[in-house]
Amino acid sequence: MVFFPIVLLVYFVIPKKVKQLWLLAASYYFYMCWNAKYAILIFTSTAITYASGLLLEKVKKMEADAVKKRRYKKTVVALSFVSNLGILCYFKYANFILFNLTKIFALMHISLSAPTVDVILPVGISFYTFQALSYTMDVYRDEIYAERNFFQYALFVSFFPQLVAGPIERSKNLLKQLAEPKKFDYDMAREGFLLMLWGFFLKLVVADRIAVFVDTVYGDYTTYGGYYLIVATVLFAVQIYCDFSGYSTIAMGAAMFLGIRLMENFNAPYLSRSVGEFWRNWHISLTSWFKDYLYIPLGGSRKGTVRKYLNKMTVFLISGLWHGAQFTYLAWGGLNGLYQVIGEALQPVRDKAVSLLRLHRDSLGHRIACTVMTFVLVDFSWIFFRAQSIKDAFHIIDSIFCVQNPWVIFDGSIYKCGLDIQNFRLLMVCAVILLMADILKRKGIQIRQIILKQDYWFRWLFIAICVCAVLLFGKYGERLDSAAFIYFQF
Amino acid sequence: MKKTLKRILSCMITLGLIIFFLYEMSSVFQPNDIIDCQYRTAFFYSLPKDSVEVMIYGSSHAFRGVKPKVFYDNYGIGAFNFAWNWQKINTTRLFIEDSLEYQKPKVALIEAFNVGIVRQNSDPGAEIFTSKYLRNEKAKREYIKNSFGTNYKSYVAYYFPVLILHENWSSLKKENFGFIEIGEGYKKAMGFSHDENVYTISLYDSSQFEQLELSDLAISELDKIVALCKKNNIEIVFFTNPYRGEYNYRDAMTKYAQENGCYYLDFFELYDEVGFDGKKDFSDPGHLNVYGAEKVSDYLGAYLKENFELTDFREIENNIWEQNIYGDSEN
Repeated sequence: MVFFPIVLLVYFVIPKKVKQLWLLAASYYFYMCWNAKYAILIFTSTAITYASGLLLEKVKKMEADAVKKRRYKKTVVALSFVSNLGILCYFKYANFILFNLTKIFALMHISLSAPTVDVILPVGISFYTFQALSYTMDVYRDEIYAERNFFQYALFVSFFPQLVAGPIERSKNLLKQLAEPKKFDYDMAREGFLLMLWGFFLKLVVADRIAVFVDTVYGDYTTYGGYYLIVATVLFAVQIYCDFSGYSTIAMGAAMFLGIRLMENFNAPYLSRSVGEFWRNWHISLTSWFKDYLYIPLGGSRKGTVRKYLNKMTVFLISGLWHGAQFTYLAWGGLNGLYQVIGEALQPVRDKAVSLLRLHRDSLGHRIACTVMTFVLVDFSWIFFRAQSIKDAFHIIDSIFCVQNPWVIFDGSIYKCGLDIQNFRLLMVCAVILLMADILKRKGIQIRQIILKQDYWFRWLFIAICVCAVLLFGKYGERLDSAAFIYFQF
Repeated sequence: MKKTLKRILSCMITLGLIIFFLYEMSSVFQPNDIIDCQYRTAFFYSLPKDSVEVMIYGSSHAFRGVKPKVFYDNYGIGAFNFAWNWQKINTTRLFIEDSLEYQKPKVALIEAFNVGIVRQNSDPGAEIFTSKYLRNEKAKREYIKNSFGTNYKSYVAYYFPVLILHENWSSLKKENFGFIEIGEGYKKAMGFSHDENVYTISLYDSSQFEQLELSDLAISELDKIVALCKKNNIEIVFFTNPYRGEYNYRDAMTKYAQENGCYYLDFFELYDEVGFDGKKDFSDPGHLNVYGAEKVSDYLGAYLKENFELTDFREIENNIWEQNIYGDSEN
């Protein structure tokens, strides 16, 4: 509450020369508020990737043959990746690996008492590690020059608005913007404020409200079976979207106050007509990272159909693991990969069916059907994402398909899981607002621009009413432990 | 420059509108469990000025433990129970200060369960929110300042309760919007909380209670109450109602009352004399029920009649107790 205004105020008051340093100090302070000692990790990651950039630049200027230079460059990249991913693996996956190795050895009747690693997962480690690695890759690919100013580079890795939950920025976009400290831009600040307001609406009013219901039902899925779980699963899809896109939007808005435009992380993903399209519009910064730095280097779609499918599965399985060291995330990623592989493999059959049935792909009905179908598939995969274990996920799926209790929606039982009927009604209103906003976004219409073009009295009233509405209907404050952003844990 | 000023003005107006809306919205938000207090205080302010001779103050032990109807029926005493749940001694002082703007009683009955506790640097709990219903703005400001101290978050929460009570939006009622119609029930009770529930308890031996000194702060609060009452020629009777628990200020209150020309009645000590029955007279471990309250009130009524010169309102036709308690009010 106080941190951001102070950072802003000081940033625009101090001389240009120290603006970057101020933002860097603020970013490290922001990170250290969670766990001060883990600042060493982000610093290490910064130092390694910064050095790798300089080394790559040096290799490029070496007087040696191309093959040798290429080998050197690859060595530098490999060192950067191994050390960064090594840190990530140690903190995020060590216990998962050790635990499962013990289990595998036990199956082979080999008793192994593997030690457990006593560490807390550093907040946002997956985000800043990937952001730093993208820099190494971009320098390697000659897409950017290595950054010589260490402080500027350190700010790129630790820039506080997007530090703990993205968007995972690219050096091509962010580093350049950070190089030139900005003057206060009133129009950008206004836009940023509206974005932050929208982000808070998504997080506090929608996501945290839904969380109450979803946590109750998923927390006791043996009691709340069947239609309780169906409603909770549908709502979870909305919750995770609003939670994560809420954070990204707040990050974008906060950065705009500083005159910096971060990349869009979501583009109305639930309006997608295929799982592939969904993934092009969901967590865009991560999906495009995997595409640019994993899928394409693996061969992408250039090495035949089977290889393409294998590459897709690899990307989605790793994407699943990126979200957490659990088999549930692996299953979630695998399922989404499988959807796309099956979808592409069946494309000729689908085309034939459309032609035989004389369906019009551009008709509204067909488009809605595809959107609903995509939502159902994606939402089904969210069960694995939300469940505590694979066993739980299968129990939940079993309950969804086998327990028949549709009356719980009509007899009021559904309103006894933490959200009363008024809260459900409010959620319906929010869903309509969200849907309209997403439709407009897909059409390339920015609501904030429409608002800012209105007469001054309308703008004042609209903003004041919206702020009050978020404060009134938001789930926050001492009476409620506002749920942390889901994606902070990744 | 003109553009910059225009922009600053624009931001200020938007901020002003937000604060205005929040403040207006805040007027309807209050803890759900104090709405009853709003009715009771509203009824108190509707009484004719300077019509009450005995005012009762204190926590739920007084609110649920002293029945004005018994005073009137048995002794003709005209009393009003202005106590409310949870009150610490500084909250009680606020209620006293506020009520004296409207009534000039001869006797103040002050219940002393929470006499040892003074609210300081506290969060804005329901107890503090009851002050919103009072009208003595100067006393309220001092009370809020003393209660919150340097806890600035509490000031924000108190003046903009929507920020901490916004979860109540789905249960807003007519009374939240200031539409108060005082029913016959409130009039008949004259501030008393009627509870017929019966809970069996056995009290601890009060002679074994550990006795504590009152803190300087608590004494200071008591001194202010005494000074205020003396200034208004009001006699003070402190008292403690029985409950299943240990009361630690009996000796301190006895001493304080003696030193300051007040009276003190400890109903732990008077348990047998009053005729309390642990199987009939309590509604829960902490409070008397209506049957226990009637016993206390009868004892207190006799005590007041004996020690103070009070009007026998039964001899005055159409008095407010007659009008309200017996429901023939034309209001």
